[in-house]
Amino acid sequence: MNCDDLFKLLPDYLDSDLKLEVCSELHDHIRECSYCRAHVNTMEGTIGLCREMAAPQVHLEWVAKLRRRIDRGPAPAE
Amino acid sequence: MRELTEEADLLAKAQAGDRDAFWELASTSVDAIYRLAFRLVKNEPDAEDVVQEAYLKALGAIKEFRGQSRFTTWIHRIAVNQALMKLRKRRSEVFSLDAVESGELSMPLDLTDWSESALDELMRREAVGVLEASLEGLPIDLRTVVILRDVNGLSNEEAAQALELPLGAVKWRLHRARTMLRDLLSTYFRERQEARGKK
Repeated sequence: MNCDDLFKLLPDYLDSDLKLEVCSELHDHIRECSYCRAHVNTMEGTIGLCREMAAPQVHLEWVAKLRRRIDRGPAPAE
Repeated sequence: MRELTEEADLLAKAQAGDRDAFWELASTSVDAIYRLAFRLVKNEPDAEDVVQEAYLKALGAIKEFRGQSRFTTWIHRIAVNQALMKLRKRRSEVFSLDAVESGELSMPLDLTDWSESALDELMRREAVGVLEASLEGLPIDLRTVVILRDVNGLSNEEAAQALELPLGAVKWRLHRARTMLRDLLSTYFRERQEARGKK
């Protein structure tokens, strides 16, 4: 595997969509290539940070209000 | 994740008019739908409107839902549409999800591995703040895919169903968006390191 191959395979790698043997080749390459290692690590780091983004908490009173609104809401259309 | 058989049972009851069953289906996704709405419309009152409108719409249309996807995927789809309508009314940004999926991404010339720096608690918190600001700056079609996939944890297939897009388009947008965010984070970490070096 070379850097171009890795660049093309990266989206599937990040989504765990690669076959095991291809993953293994990719791992071999990033052990040897610091550039691709940085590429993979920073993409994985970005995804990890995305998972830590929080939105403001939904207030419990607001959720209770939504529940009441649903109880009063229109009957499902036929 | 709720078992599919349990979800099918709740869905049948909800379709028969059982509001408790509808709420049981709906309530587990309220946080995720609010997160999605907030990241798209960018303020709390509008996000609350979007969430409420999405659930009321789902309630009204529950008999049309055939269970071909999980309920959470379906409500994501409704909420994305409600959020786009809100943005359309505001006319504040380009809101089309029909971007053209083309163009090659090129390998960055200068790439520093900041993944170790991101382990530092303070830098990590700052980086999340940078990421939030960067996400807001992404075009809506890219932002939506990242929120569905990397913030709310939908699969590529579920995101494709929620956005009514081909799977390939979702994958392409996701990679483009992740790459743009990574490049913005790289700039942040580089500047942070340079500032530390000067002290």
